[in-house]
Amino acid sequence: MRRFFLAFLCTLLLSTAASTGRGGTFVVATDAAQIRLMLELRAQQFLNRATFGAKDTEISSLADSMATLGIEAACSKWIDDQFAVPTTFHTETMKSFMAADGITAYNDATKNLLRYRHHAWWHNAITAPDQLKQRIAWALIQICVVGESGDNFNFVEIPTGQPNKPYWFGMSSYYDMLLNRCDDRYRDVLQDVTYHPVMGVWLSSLRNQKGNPTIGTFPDENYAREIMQLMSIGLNELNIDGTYKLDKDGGVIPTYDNEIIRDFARVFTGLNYASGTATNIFSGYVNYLDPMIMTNNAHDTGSKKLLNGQSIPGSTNGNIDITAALDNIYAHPNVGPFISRLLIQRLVRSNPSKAYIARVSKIFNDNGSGVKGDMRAVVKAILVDSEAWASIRMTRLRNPTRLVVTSSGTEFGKMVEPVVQYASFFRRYGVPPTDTSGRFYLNAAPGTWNQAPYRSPSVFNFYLPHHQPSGGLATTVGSRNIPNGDLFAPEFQVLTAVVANSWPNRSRSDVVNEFIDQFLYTTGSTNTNTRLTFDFSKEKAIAANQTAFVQYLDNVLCNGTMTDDFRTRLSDAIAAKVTLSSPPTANQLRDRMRGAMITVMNSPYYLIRY
Amino acid sequence: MSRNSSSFDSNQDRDSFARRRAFMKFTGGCAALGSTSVLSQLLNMQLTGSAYAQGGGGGDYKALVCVFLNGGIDSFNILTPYENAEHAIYTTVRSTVAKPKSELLPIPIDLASPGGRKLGIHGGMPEIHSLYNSGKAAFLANVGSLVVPTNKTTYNSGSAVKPLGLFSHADLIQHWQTSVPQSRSQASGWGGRMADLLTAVHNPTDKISINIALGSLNVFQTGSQVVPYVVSSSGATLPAGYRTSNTTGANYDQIHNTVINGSTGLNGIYPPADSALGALYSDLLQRTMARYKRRSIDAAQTFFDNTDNTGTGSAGGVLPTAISAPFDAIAADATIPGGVKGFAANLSMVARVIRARNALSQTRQIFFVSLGGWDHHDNLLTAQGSMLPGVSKAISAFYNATVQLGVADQVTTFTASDFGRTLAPNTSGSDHAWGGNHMIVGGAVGGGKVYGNYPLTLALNNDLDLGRGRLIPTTSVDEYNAELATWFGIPNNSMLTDILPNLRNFYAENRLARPIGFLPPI
Repeated sequence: MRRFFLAFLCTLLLSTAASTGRGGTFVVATDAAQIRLMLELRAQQFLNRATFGAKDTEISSLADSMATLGIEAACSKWIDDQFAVPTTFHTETMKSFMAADGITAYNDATKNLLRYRHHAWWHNAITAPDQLKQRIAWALIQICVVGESGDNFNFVEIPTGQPNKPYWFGMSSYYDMLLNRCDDRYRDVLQDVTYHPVMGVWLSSLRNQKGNPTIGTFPDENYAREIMQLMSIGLNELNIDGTYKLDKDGGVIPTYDNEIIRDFARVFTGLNYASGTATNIFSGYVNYLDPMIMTNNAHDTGSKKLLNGQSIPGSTNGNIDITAALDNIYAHPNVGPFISRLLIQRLVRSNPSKAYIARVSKIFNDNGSGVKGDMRAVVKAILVDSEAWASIRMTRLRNPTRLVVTSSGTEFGKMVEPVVQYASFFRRYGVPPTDTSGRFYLNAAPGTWNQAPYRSPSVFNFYLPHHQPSGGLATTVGSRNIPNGDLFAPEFQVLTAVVANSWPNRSRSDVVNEFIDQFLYTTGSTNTNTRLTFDFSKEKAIAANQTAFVQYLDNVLCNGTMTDDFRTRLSDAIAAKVTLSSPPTANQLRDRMRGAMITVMNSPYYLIRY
Repeated sequence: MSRNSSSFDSNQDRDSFARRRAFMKFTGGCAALGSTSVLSQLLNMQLTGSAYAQGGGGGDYKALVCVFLNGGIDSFNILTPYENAEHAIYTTVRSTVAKPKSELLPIPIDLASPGGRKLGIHGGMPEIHSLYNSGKAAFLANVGSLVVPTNKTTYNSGSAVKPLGLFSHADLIQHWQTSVPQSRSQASGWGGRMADLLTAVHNPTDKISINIALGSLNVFQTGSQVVPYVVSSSGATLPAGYRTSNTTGANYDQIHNTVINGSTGLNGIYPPADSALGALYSDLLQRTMARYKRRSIDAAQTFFDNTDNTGTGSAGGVLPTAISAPFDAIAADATIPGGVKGFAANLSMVARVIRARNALSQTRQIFFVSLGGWDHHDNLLTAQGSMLPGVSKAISAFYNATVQLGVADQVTTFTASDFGRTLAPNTSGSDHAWGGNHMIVGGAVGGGKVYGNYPLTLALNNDLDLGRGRLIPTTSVDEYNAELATWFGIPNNSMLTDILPNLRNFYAENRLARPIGFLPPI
């Protein structure tokens, strides 16, 4: 049994002659150690996708489980277990932090309260036990995007008449809504997104009214357009494998036209703050937390032409129209491949194959019990798919006993998101701070990355799913496995000429200082900071043997994807630049750690993940 | 122009691009292009981009400098009524925030008619007053973001499509920069869209973007392809510890530099030549990463070499005193607030980058310099009194720098802001409103004149007043932008429409006269 699943994931070559020029070699003492290393690398590969970064204890525990159950079964169980962990909501985290700091007034202008939104995000990314949910929510907010630049989202004040509902809690409330729905149906996500007042403000569906033909006004089309284009079906008709459906002339088929957008805009009319009255859309106080309510007399009750050739007669109850319209969108066959592809891009790789998309879409369309969009089933399908593992090949060789680890190439990787990279760095090296009893008080953007939690610049996220960086990708046609032949690398969109230099400066500074100071608030002209420290003691302890040290960094930071060639260059440079006395001094070991870590964290092997 | 057009939604562009490729694959290419309706705006952009190139484009160097005054500057105290009757009404309406005539510098509304109507410039801005009187500075009155020409009737009935989110900071900042105020989902700015068109001709090496931001990323300079190159007043971000030599600096940095630069007999892992890259990375993601890293290091190095006091490039080294002295004086002036000093330092860096234009092989440059702190809900008179003198000195110092560099006629500096503010005050400040006054400085500017329509009266409840002295703009940001864009070389055809999608509500295609006229005739 066990042999069977291992063979599936690991080529066992008994020949000693095999040469894998692009791989990295791990020499081990025994067959058992060889298998254990392989399992640990698989566990790490999985956890880097399913969490904000693999940690040694979790790798070890999952590898144990894999040894017993098999790789896929262990990961399936891990996923089930994660969904059973209670959700760590960000609003609660934020409130508990403020309580711990003695802050009871949520409009206190002296303590820079807005930072707690970001503290909560980072703290949960680094420490929350429900890592999978946190990671899915981070993927979802990059699909159903809002950003804190929205009107009054950062207003540290409490609206009149709404004592427990500060303006600035709205963003966290939206995030919590996604967390709450991340294990439900995607239909539930769309439902709650549509009614959340933060989305209402962000895409101007709040207080959107029916048109008035006599003076020539029309409902706002903003939300109608984006829910279809970005959050559900996209612009062109898709097959289940993500390829375009084509008309008889070979052209793509648009999913909707402007008439349909206009009619959906008429559907999303009448929504107001929860505190409003039933008859006046301009009544009520600002409330960025509770779902919007329907003001039927501002709702367009006429018939509407929707997708899939369907129409609705229009209801005097606007909620009925919205439900019908969301159901109509949700029934569109694009939802499966469109959302599946986006989730795979966020969690696994930039260019999923047609077969991969099709397998996940099939689960999306029916979880086996006739339910469409079951997020638990979809996430599991994405994370345990055979192609998810195939991003890294592992070859077992003998004489000497060793494992050769190779990344599988362009179509199997993705650039790590800066925010995920930094969270993973903290998960591995961050020391729980004592001055805040273990609370990681990071600022929204500890580095210049063009990416930070809650700071999407527009509804188009930090990057587009179709972004092609300049250089080879744009001019290369993907293999036959790739839908429509185009290769993308969304995350490169944040990697401007500035970020390409400022991002490594963050890593270098952290590795050299072994701490990062984060600003909290100003009193008069005095800044109060918190110092977050890093622990590189293990790295320093093994830095004397540069070959073993570099192999170790390959394992824990690059999941084994370094090439032997790169490893040799690095270990040669370490040996040449920091020679050791006998015994080595602490400074020598420290400098080796610094040089090696800076180099690895700037290498494509660390920044491109498989 | 249909409401909520997302012609420039980059996502749609990308999708359309893929769509176009799919289309071309199946139909055999360009012959069929004209017959399809699925062609996107992006394709148009690309076609017009090459049309721009084919039209010769090129020409002499030009630069635009956008000075964005964050927070919504109270600009009816920068340019005020001066005629006795007008000033009396202004005083009544503005009450606690009114400037007395003794604190104003009078200007004729048109230097060519010195006996005509006079307005006043804030008394803290003598340098601007002097530039105005020497014909190097002009004002544009009551300008703001509009979708269509709007008056009180069409505003109140709702028949005029309004900018979203009147009168919030975030929305109106975004609108001024995108020039698409009916949408919140606009990812690109008009300066970015211009740069998309201009890059091929005017920035052939494309080492550094022609859109250079002082401080931070902004929507204005972000296009479909072009993103701003962000620098600080001290220059570009170099990778810390990076050296081209592998034998200097901290030993741990030497480890890194040895690996990325290469060592004897070995290419670095970010090799400079594409040809060598293939040998290291068969994986395109890894190769692209290495390429981006190398290009970014080289760009920062080139920038540093040509803009730093210690830089060794052809434009590097200490600035001539004739340029630096006015900036040094600002830095040394204890009465100027720190933020304004930083603004001046940023303008000094802009002058350095202009000086480096040949070294960077750029014949067009668009700069973005911002200065915040104008959201004066209270304490307006004191706060402006403290901030404006430094702003005036800094803009004057920058104009002087362009004269010294011999490019005064080729550099146009213009101000922008979220919105104007209410004429009727709060206790000691004013609130968010709409139309405001802005200034344009440069050798090419038809200075000594106030363009647009400075209201004949600021009395409350006038034809433009939406209440409390919130004035409906009488000139749109689109017209303002189109004036600058056409001067910059964008022809008044579909290329200009691509950059300013609402423009045709205000300014006809192919019209020869500029929309406003503060820059020389086409």
